[in-house]
Amino acid sequence: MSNDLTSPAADSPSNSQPKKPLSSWRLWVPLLLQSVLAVSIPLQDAHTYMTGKSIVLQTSAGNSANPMGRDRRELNYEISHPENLRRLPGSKQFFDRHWGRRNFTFYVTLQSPIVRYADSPLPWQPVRIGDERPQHLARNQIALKGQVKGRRILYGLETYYMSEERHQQVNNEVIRVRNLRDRAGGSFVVEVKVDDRGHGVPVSLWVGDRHYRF
Amino acid sequence: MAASNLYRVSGNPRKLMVSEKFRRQLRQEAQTWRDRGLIDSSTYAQLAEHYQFAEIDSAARNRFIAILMALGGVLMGLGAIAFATAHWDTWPRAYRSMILVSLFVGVNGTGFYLWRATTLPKAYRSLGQGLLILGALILGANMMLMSQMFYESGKVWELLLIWGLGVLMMAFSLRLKSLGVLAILLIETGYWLGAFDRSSWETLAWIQWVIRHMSLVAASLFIPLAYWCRSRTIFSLGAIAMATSLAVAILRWQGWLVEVAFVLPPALLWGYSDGIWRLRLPQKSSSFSSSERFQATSRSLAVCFLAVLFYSLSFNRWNYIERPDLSLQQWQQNLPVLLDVGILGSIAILGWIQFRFHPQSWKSIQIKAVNTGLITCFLMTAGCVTYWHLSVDRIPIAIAIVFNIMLFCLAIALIRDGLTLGSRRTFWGGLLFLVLGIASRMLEYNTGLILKSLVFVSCGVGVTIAGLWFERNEKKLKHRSKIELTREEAS
Repeated sequence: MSNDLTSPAADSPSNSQPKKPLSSWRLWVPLLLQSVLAVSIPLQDAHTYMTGKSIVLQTSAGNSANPMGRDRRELNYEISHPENLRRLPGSKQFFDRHWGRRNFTFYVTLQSPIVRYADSPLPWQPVRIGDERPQHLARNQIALKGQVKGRRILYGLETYYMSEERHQQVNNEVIRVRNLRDRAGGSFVVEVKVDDRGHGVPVSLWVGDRHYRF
Repeated sequence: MAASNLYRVSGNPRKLMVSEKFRRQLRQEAQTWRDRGLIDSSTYAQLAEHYQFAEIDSAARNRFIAILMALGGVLMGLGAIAFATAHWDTWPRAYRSMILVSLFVGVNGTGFYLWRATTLPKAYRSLGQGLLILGALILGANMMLMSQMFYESGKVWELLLIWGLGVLMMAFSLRLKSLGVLAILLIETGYWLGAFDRSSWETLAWIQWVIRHMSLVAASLFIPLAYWCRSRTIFSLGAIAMATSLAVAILRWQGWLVEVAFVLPPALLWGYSDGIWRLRLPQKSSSFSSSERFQATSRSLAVCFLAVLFYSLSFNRWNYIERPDLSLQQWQQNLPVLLDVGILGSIAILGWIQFRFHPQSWKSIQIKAVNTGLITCFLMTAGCVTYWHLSVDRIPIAIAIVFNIMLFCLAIALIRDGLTLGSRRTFWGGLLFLVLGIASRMLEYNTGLILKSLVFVSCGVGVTIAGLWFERNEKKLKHRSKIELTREEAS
């Protein structure tokens, strides 16, 4: 009779009091595993950053007032434009076979410039394009993996993170240098680290002679 | 006095089920009774001891203090977050990582030790559980910030998936229902965002595998979690995840076994019972509800799935649906889905084999309209008709008619069951699908406006009348059906 006045037995053990307290490892083991999971997310990029080779890519932002991208923080490279790739050996197969039909991945081989530095590092130029990863690369060449999605070419280097004020600062700097040199194209380059599997990570960017790390 | 023994307390007097308002009123009334001589002071003293009149005021004060502390804590937390956000970019990366990790460990640790302490009052244990949930959310924030700090440009859904898996591990370890539900919601959101994202070229291979075989993942992780936590909510969410991801996997990555996508998930859900995992003949005593914890839930989900399936297939769009011609290379690419189909199909078969132990399921006249026989008819018809349309001969109009008929039959059967059993959910579910079916057909075809308005008005009137009639007679129906069901069980 007096049981009516006590609290009802819970229908699941998580709501009732356990007979003896749970042992501590039930917290610490999953906590450890969760940390391992959390660390594994940027693992590939961290690995690329540490072991990759540093190359420089030319961006192309056109005449826009926000060359660094407005809200979406997107960078466009010269090798993201299909016209620039048409002149390369191997491009005929690239365009005829797959273009516009489905999404596919490809590798572009980039070669380092003869003169490496002016006031800022000079960009690497694409020399070849193909479906497979090139087997033989010269010492001054590297293969970058890209993907064609619809009619866009993406390299996984399009987004970046920078604080708001820094972003504004760099934006102004780009516009200033562009007006100074009176060049129609965008005028800043991005330094990228590429590992031996073609995966790239943007590291820093150069505007004029100023260097900004991401 | 014998009467005073009734008020003697045994057990922890803190666990009173009555509300505080009642205790306050009782104290007031008891004082009036004592003053008027209705009860004597010893009875009053026993009442006071049992209902803890003295504690009412202090309980209110404690509650007020707890609310103040919680408010203070929330404000401090918001201040800390604002401070961190303002200075985030200026701090070096090691510093930021340390803050994140210590916050994560601190919240989880505090929550755990508070939650598991049996000596503290219930409020602290709820606080502990709340802190554990907060810790799970902080895990997500940590993952996002860490990946942002280290240049990761991954997709949102990958993050959600990994986050959900992390929370799932904690839910398994601590056996917490709330964490389990959170984990399943996160994983499912990540799945639905990622299943249709065709630009998944940079994702890790194991994440892609998880997305493709989500039905197996759901069956092997979520359902055991439901048993472990003994939670029907987790079972429902897990079963929905399993059924929908099986259908999506077949339709998106296989593209050829369309009938299987329609028939296998409801068959699997309807035939599910705990008896699957027992290999020998079950005892007579345990052949009914005592050990079938989740069968009712599973069956309702099967009926929901069928209803939604029939509704979506009853539209006159069959002209545009055709089976793709797959080349050999595509066939090879699509083979992995057969693994899911094979494993879940054998579980479904095991489940339906159990029906041989219940021969009364196959009688032609039964109490419940929505019974195994009817479901079998529906599944076979749906499968055969779809196969005919896609492989043998295109019959777009006939197949739409067939699915419409099945939809209305199912709705009417549900309404009849709702009336027979006095079950509100069944009744309204059936009525909902009936009205949806009629309304969709009206809107889809070009009938005159007068006919449309007539139909809608009569639907509205019919629904109102049916609802009112049902609510008035619910109790009577429930009582009658209980008697009939026990009579059937005994025979």
